[in-house]
Amino acid sequence: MAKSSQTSQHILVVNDTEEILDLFRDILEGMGHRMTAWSYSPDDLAKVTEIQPDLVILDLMIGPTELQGWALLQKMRMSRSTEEIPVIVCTAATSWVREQEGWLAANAVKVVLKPFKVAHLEHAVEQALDLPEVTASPELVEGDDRTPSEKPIPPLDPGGPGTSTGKAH
Amino acid sequence: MDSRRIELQLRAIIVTYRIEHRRRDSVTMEGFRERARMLLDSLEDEMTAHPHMRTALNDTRREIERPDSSSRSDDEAATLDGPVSSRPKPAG
Repeated sequence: MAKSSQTSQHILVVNDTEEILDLFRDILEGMGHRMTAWSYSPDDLAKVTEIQPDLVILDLMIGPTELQGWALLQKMRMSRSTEEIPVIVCTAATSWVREQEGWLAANAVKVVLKPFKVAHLEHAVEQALDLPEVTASPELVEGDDRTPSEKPIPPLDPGGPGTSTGKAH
Repeated sequence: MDSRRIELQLRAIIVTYRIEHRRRDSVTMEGFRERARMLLDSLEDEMTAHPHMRTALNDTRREIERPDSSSRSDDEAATLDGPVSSRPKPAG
């Protein structure tokens, strides 16, 4: 699955690594979508609403504190203007995902674990955009078929799960 | 799967690996490697139809399996990176 016949959608990818943005561009534009790449996580949600993305794909670990992606995700879900925008989190932080799976499911956030199968990412994108083409198996796509729970939004804790993976910098 | 698709998949593995390798500890990376191995194994069947991709697959596997303390050489980077390799690596 690469090219699909559906309408082109606008996808915002937020990641602080240029190689990842390049990779996503090749994948998403290969699917026929339009991509906006941000190498930073904006403090102001208005910047997100300005460009009106159909989907946001972000890493949780962005920026100097490495939690800016998580902060952006929380803010997006707490704001009326962005709460309905589909979000895919693409991350290698498996322990964080497990700890937050209730919140992620309750907030309809899909998770694609790194390293990912390209077909799985494409599948997650099609699902998030509610587009018909689905050919990949979803083994590495999490958080999409779960019963939403009523868990409260967890606090943003710099010493919490987001840093539990022991990053080097 | 065509060659371009295989190349894209290898790139998805190696690019994410290099970034996470810079950021994470060896324990966390072992889980990452395990998933990378599964993805690389799933590409083995494609090598019959695309034998010219064998070197890229092997190079990717070798880099993934390398001990954390060592770093890749420039010639490997040139082999593995493909079109992205010519771009400057971002800081951090």
